[in-house]
Amino acid sequence: MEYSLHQTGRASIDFLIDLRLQSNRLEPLTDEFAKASGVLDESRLAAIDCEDMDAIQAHVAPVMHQSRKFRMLRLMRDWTLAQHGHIAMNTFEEIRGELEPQLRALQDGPTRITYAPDLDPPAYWDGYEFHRSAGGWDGHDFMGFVHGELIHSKMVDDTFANIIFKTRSDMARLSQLESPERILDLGCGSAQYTLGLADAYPEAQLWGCDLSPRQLEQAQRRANERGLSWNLFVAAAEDTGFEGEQFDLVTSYAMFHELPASVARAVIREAHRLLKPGGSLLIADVKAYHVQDLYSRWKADYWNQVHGGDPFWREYATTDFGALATDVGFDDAMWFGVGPGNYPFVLMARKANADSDRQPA
Amino acid sequence: MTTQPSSPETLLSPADLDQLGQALITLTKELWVLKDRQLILEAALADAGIVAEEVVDRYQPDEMLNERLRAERQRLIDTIIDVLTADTNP
Repeated sequence: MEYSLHQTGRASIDFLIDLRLQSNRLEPLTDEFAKASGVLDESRLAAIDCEDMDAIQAHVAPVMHQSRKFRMLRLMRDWTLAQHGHIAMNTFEEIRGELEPQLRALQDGPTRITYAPDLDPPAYWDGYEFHRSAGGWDGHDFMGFVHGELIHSKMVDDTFANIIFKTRSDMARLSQLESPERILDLGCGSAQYTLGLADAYPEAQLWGCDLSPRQLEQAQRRANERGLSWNLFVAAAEDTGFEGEQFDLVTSYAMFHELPASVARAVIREAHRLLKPGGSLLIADVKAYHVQDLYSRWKADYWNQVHGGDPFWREYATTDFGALATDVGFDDAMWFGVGPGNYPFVLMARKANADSDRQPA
Repeated sequence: MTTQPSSPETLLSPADLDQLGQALITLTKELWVLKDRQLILEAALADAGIVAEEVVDRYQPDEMLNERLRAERQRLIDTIIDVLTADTNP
């Protein structure tokens, strides 16, 4: 997709990115404040259940709020969270005239979407603006482009040192499968990870499902632009409606931290049902809490669960996905951090071959 | 008869401070957009000698101008951060 931003949108996005990056210099100063305050000293933690994140929040946050630098860091991050969706949608409107015909044309091609007009969206997803993105996943007629391109490719990727696409592409190669015939990407969104899968396994048939029609339309454009033929479906990952035992690899990137634990379990169970005997499960997502020290855990929880528009972050980060996969019936489940700083965190597991007597729990 | 000034009072409540902070950053953003626009306009005038909104809207900064914009933008942001976080600020 060829497009150039107009001045107001470009300058607004540049401002938002630099506000985030420049304000990050306050974070090490607030870390020093935390250390100097003694809030995490053993004597002050003695009466606290360190597995109880609510108790940790109640203990640490009021102390950190005494730091002006911390309060201002919070203020600036709150602003970027509250404004990024609005800025992205306004930026789109500046260039809609030249962009819309191109976007509509790219929906015509070998990649097709099967819509689900009668689908009743699950309560954990319906109407919720994850990451505090104004407009959510579907709140604009081109929200797939707005979110996938303007928010993710421009704002988020620039803010996180351009690792968004690279990390997804690296993960796609981690399955250790030589030539899977059929791959399903659960919660594929606008296909940032699916594109990595297509690069890693160019001969495979790719399927993707997501609850958001608008995000799938952007996935469709990205696939068609490259001449790829994917099967995209509007469906919940925990209830795809697909026939069982038809995929060699069921995979997902950065979806599980947006699911309640009960739904995460249902998705793993659905993946087990969908995989052929001997097939592989590969899930990548944010870092689990158990590999982080107490202060890092508090920060992750504070900025994401409590203030970042990620209501299920804590449930995800405290779930043992290795044990869960084993419990559901997978073999050889491993739940571990990959790459610098244990990001992303990965679940790899295998469905037993047909001659195994293993039964799902 | 003159009206005596009332004794100093704090008009805004603590609950207003977050909103005030949000507004401040929003104004900073707007200021930046205008400053950015001004610099672009100057560059466009120098390049083409044309004064037109369309020219500014569609102007794509080259690497050198982008660097200049980035430096100005970061300076502006740093100025605001310094004010907001100064230890002597009441």
